[in-house]
Amino acid sequence: MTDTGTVHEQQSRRVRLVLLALSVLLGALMLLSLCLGRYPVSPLTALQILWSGMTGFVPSVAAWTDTDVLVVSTVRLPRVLVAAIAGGALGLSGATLQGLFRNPLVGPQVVGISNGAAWGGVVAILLGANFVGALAWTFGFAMLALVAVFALSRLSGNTSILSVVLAGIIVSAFFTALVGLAEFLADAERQLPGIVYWLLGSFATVTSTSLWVIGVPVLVAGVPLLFMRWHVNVLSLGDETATALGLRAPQLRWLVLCLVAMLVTAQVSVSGAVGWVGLVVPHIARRLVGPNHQALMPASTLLGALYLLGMDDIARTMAEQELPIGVLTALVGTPVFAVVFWRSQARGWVRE
Amino acid sequence: MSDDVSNAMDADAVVLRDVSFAYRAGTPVVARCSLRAPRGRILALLGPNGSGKTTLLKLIAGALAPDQGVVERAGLVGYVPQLLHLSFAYSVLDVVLMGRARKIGLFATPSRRDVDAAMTALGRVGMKTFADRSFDELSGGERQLVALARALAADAEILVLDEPTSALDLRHQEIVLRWMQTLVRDDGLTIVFSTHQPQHADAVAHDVALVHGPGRVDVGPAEQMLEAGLVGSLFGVAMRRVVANPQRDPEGTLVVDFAIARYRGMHRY
Amino acid sequence: MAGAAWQARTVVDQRGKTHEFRTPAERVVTIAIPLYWHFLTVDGSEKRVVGANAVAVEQMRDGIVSRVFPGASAVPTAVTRGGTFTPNVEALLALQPDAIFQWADRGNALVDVLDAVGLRTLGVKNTNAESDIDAWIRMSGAAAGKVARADSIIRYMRGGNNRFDAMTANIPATQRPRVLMLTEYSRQITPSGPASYGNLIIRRAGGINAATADGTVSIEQVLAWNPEVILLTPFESKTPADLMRDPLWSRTPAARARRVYKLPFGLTRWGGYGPESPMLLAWLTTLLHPAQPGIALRDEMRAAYRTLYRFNATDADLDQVLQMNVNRASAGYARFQATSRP
Repeated sequence: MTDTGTVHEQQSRRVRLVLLALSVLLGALMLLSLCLGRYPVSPLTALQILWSGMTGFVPSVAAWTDTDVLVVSTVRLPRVLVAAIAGGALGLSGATLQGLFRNPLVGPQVVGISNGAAWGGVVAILLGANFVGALAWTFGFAMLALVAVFALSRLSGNTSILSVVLAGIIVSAFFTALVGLAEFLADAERQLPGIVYWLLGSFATVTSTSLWVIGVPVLVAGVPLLFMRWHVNVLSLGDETATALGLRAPQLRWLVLCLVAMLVTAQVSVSGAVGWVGLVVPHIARRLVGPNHQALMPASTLLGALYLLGMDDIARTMAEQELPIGVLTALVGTPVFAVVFWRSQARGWVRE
Repeated sequence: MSDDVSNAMDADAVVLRDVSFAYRAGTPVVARCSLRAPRGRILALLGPNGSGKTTLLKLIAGALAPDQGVVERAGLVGYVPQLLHLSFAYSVLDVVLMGRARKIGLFATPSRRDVDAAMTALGRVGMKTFADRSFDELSGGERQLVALARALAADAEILVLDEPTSALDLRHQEIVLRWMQTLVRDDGLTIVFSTHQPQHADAVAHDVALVHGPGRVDVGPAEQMLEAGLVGSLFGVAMRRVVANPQRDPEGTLVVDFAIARYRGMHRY
Repeated sequence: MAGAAWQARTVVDQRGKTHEFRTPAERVVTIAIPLYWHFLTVDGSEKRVVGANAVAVEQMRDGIVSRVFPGASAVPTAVTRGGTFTPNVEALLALQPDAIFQWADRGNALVDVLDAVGLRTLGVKNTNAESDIDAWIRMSGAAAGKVARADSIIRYMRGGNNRFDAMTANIPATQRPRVLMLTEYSRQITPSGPASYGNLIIRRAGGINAATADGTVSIEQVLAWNPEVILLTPFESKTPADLMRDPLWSRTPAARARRVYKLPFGLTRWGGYGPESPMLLAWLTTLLHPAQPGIALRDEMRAAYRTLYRFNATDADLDQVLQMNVNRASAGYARFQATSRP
């Protein structure tokens, strides 16, 4: 008889190792990203600038110009941080949503949050809302979309994988239609460019302000969510079982959904609706650390950060123009998802 | 049937008083039902499909709240659903750990003590070696035992099991029934379970509730309630009782007559 | 153009269709946005236009254009429905127009629905080529029965090109500043790259286009391009002063030398080819090559507005067009002040 306690410990050690490796990789990619860009700063100089920025140590013969410092500290650093935070937020949202909906086919876009948030942002532009108002509208409609998808998928009585996806398609299409209507009605000179820009989103104009816009909500929502990660396991059993196991399941579920909506809102506010991160990343994370959300949610967060940061590095360095980040993530994400989907389907056929 | 329900709780693990419940207004699934499950004993809810057994169990377990009436429980209830289905391929230990949900803070993860408790619970149903297996690789019977362990991991004193044997083959039916008996006998637990097979009630239950449908639940000692005429009218078929009581062979193995084949228009059990 | 009298009757539009005007069109509709302004310029009046694109009409509300064509912002706009250029066929039939200017390069459907109901539709295109704008003016002239005037406007525009081509031809590459023309910079950075018309303007005025790509770029790319002059179009809501204050943009040689300018806003936004482009070339050449003799911008503008529009621009009008207030902190802009003479 194997000592299963030891096996369990070996597994959690493996998980810790994977998480550590992902963290180290993320740190390394962030450093590398600081060395990449269209403005010529040598990698060594970039790292020296970073080092001197952190330690205050300035070599007697500074080998860099003021502009080098600005490029590294004011252009690249916020962008690298924001891309990583946005990716982490999407990865975490995706893993949480898949657990909550007991459904590997959902992501922030599938359950309508992204489109709801996008419409909220458009409303804010049409109403001329200030910064806080815009965030409130965005979050409000993200939540509304989520509630609508949830209610619709429950109408049939069973929350099958398909009914959630269908409800998501319905709600997303509705909000997309509203956005289309707004684009039609908007003042072509004053409002339309703002709307189009908001919908497109990009990390290209990220500043240290954006870092606050995304950093604070992601911290406020993401940290508690990560602490609650084990309970997502229990919620993934469904409300009835979770209630029988002693959780106040409906309340807890809505709390978790609220936090997810906050994460997605923050991400959409900074970089527009970026698809194929929250949906795809958890599947890759699941292959690394298994389905237990206790390990999956941190792994998905780190992996999401790595993925989006990598994609943004490509977006900003491949050509003189900024490549649209949403197009890149879709280009890479869709084939990956197709493989994941095909594998799970193939597995399902063998089993059932 | 409800004459002695008002007895002191100390003898009973669960007491239902005049409980009614409807999923949709106007069509009650449970109507003015009163019953009690004595502590340290096994109560079987026997009835045909669709008679409301599962709803009754959920009311007992607290997974549903009654529209009217009172449900009293003299201890923590562990609910084991009919079919434990998972959307993700959690390990057996992960599944059993979820039984500890009550004891793990919202912002916490399972501690060493929780893992130990889960392993102990698995040991109590003889599934310790399965801890690191993926739950979805287990057979139906093994899953049922894991579900039992999950309820045990919660330190439940009352186990509420929905059709614990109905999806199992004969060997696993016997294994699950044996563990139910062991848990009651050795650990002093109270078990309430539902079944539509009289021989399973006969095999392990001390008390039997015949669930005819909303508004009619007859409760009494097993030997009294499992009379062929009563059971026959419950299922609407003629029945003949073959074995009065389960027996044990010298090694302690449960011997149950599982002859359930149709015999000249009669059901034997 | 001598011997062009026959063109008074016949004109070929930009999709190759021939239109005959026996008499000048009295009821004109412009669905393609810039055609409103070009037709007004050629005809010298808004009286023949019975319907125009809402976006184009909105642009007639402010600035000196509202004084040159006071009725232009009151023209009915119910000529489109749905999309910006989708004709409202029933409304158009009710207007009984005898010429409609419509885009012919945005899908055939936009012109086909008009052809189908027998409305005379002049298809127009915009490929960023100067010949396109010539064609618009020529078609406007044919429709308005003012072919000679249309030709003189085209000659005036061509004359501007030739004058500044000649003026800057001998400027060596080393003395040509790298110019970055930006449609927007604050919300997203959209330079006028090699495919844009701005590219040609910059070259004509003796500069080198700093932008080697069109589309959206990052600030880092701008810093790598290292522009010595930055031009902001009126589409950008921020000012040169804002740009020069920005911690990153202030690093560009353009901002350090305060050579950041907002493009003037005359009857239309400057930046493309059109009746105001000789003035634009004069403005930009002066800024890029301050020592270049022979340009008296204010005088030339006053003369041009008088000739083109019979409009006597005051000093205040020219201050407004030249964005004197917005550009007051930019290098070399004082020379455009009313009191100073170059």
